[in-house]
Amino acid sequence: MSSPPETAKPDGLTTHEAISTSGYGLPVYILAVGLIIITAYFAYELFFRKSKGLAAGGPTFIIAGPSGSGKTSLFTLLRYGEKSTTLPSVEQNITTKFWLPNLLDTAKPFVLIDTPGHQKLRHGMFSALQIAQAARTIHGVLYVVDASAMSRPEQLREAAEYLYDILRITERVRGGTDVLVGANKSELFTAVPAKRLRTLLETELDKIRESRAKSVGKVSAGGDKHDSDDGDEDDGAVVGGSGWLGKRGEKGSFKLEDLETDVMVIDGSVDNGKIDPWIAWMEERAVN
Amino acid sequence: MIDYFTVFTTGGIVLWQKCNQPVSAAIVDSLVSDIFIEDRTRSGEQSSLTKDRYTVKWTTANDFGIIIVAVYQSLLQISFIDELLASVKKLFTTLYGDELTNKDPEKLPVCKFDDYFAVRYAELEILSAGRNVGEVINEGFGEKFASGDESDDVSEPPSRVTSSDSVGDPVKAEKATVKKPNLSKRGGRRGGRGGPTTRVGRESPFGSSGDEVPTKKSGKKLRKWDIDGSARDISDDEGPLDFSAGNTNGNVTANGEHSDNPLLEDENVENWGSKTKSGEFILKDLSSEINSILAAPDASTTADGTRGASAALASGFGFFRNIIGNKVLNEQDLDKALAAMKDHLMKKNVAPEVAQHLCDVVSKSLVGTKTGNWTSIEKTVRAAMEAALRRILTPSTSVDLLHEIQRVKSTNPPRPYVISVVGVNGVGKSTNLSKIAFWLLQNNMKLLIAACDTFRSGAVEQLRVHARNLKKLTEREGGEIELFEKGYGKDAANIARDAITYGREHGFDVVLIDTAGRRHNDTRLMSSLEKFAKYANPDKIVMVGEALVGTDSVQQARNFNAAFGPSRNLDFFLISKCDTVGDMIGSMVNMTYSTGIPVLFVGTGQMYTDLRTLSVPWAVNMLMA
Repeated sequence: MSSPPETAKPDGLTTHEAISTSGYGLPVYILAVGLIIITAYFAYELFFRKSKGLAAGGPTFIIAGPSGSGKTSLFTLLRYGEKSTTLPSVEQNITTKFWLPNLLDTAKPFVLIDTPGHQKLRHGMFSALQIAQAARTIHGVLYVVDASAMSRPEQLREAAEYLYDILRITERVRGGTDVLVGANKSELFTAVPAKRLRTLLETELDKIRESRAKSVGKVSAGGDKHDSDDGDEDDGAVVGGSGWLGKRGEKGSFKLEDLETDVMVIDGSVDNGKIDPWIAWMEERAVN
Repeated sequence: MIDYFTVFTTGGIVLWQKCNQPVSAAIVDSLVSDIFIEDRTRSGEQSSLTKDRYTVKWTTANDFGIIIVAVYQSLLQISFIDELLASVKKLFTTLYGDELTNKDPEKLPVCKFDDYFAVRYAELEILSAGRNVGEVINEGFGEKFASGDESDDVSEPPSRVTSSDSVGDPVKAEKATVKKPNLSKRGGRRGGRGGPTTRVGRESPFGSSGDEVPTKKSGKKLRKWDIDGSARDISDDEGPLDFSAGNTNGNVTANGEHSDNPLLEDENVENWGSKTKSGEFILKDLSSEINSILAAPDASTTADGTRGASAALASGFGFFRNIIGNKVLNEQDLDKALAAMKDHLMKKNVAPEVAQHLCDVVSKSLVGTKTGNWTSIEKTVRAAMEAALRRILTPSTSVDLLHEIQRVKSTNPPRPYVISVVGVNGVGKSTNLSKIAFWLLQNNMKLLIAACDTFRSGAVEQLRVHARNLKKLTEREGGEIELFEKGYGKDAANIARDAITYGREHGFDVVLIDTAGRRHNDTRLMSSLEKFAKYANPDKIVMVGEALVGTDSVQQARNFNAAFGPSRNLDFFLISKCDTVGDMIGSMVNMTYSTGIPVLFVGTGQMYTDLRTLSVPWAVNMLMA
């Protein structure tokens, strides 16, 4: 039943084409050119734009730190001028309209990314940092810690481990990416002051450096016998392995000054709105 | 009473919260990370979790990126909690939808939701109180009796109710009369499902009589409990009936039991009453607004309808839509991609149960969201699956053995760090134990290997060979190793304890305990592990699982994890024989999924050096390849 019209159709088409190629050359050319342009655009969109991702949008600051240190509060304070009550983040908070108070009219707005602190979700921070570093849009990492918890060894250890992983990434670019360790909750009685925190972190980072160097190598593609000495072929997504941070030297010789990365530790308090030194730090980095 | 109710964004910004009872922030935080990050819920579709003495129920709206959570004490049974969550979700997304869809708003969204919540809560409370009398009790308690599990929980509250009944009897009678007009006004309108006739019939004698005892008795007869109760004690039977009778006074009474009952109730009733008297207009307005929002058809269903109408166009356009992206995902879209993904995972040795769970997680996280520009559904699903796998495999606390050994060493008095390996027969416990030993020896540790496999012939000799080899290999580097053996046939737990004492006396840094392999479903052999854990009390219990095993690994991990008693779990897995399976490393996912315990080491060959730590990106790549 349906076969006769089916066979008729192609015939009709071919006659059409014959007519158009002979009589109406111009529209076909226009069509063809249009098609090429469209495919080129598609190809561009598919292969070039996607690789960049959102994190590479503009000059970027990234907020990181262990769980419960006050990252999201800081984010809302910086972005909206008020801090909100928060619960553990599951996803990143991203704003592309972050203005620093003293650079309201001079600079472009900044991208501010608040990353979840939970160990299982840190991968997102590492990749955001790497993308921003590759695109050279990163202006600084705000590493927020709960200064009142730093007197507890496990908490300090966790904070140092996360910082270690971040430093492993920031050290990869020439000159490093600046890191501000924001000692948050300094209003609390038990808070460790910035200077002391710096030395605490240094000793802890030194220990981590030692034990990472001695740890068993990471398994690599194909399961062959090469130790992945620097986690780069992992896409650097999870750093670790046995890469050495800082100058080679004796045990206990780790100093934050030795790094390419400029690390500063500054007190602050999101709860009391005392984050001016942090903003000043960001403004310094912003103009560079 | 709900202790804590909150609506927050996935980014962790609380949009609105209501705190009836102070719940410590640490508890809420840990609940949120347990549910939404560590994914500790294993009870299928039900979105609820019980921890400590709290139960959490939640719902999410992916298209708006919000999570709605209710926390209440586990002792309470709040029948309308699901309805409340659903209606709050609907109300919230309708009222604040515009603000919420803007991912980068100019201002922090302000959500003044208190009044809506209070009104809706009161409505549902009254509704459910009505329903309780009508039907819910009959069914609900019948089921409970049939299961018999919760008879303890059920029989506990009634005693309290009856005691408070005798005290607060006149008050309650009053309240019933106070509430009645409300019910007829408000509840009657929407009472279709509650069964209004039964409720009225039940409620009116209650209010007028003012005496509880006769109503209770008559209620029992009417409900014909004897059918269920015939197999049970009659006294048991009366318990829940008392409870239900307490419930007829309104859910508030049942809920208030644990706190200062009369106060709360009074406040609530007064609230309600004063509002109806003085601010009736406002209240009515609000509740009618709520009802109109809730009555409005779901946005997604209408969209489905239009989609159905123009199905032909959609199917033709769908292909482009898939390339271009920006498509709002619904379950049908995802099903196909997820089915393919599930097959793929199962080919990688992931157990069907685990693959299904992963697909559910992905589906839940994607329904309602838009695909990115130029991203197909398959790509989106793939990315989400990668994230889910990464989340499962990434440990939630990092393990640094060398650091911990150093820490233990520096305690006063110094004691050896104890590591023991367990596992099924032939997975490579002794082999991997010696690999760990080699690594520790290279770091200048003084090791004692305890041969606690007193069952399989040759096990001790095997370890002796390993110890001799390792000694030769590491002599120059300064490692020390010794074998602690007591022959065959003795009790493993005792040998382990002796070995640790020996290790302490002779200044060893680490004691490595090898145990006999056992089948995970052999209860006799597994039960001896509990004693072992008590006697040896190892710092780390490592389960060696082989990558070859496949689906059974789920059960292996579960049984071993449970074998050490309620207070002790496994610490990490060592997956052996990874060199033999290529990219089919699904067993890793199975084991971490079923226990939440991370994989730390991976065995990749026959040499002492063939031990690696797990690299999560590597594993994810292998699984997705």
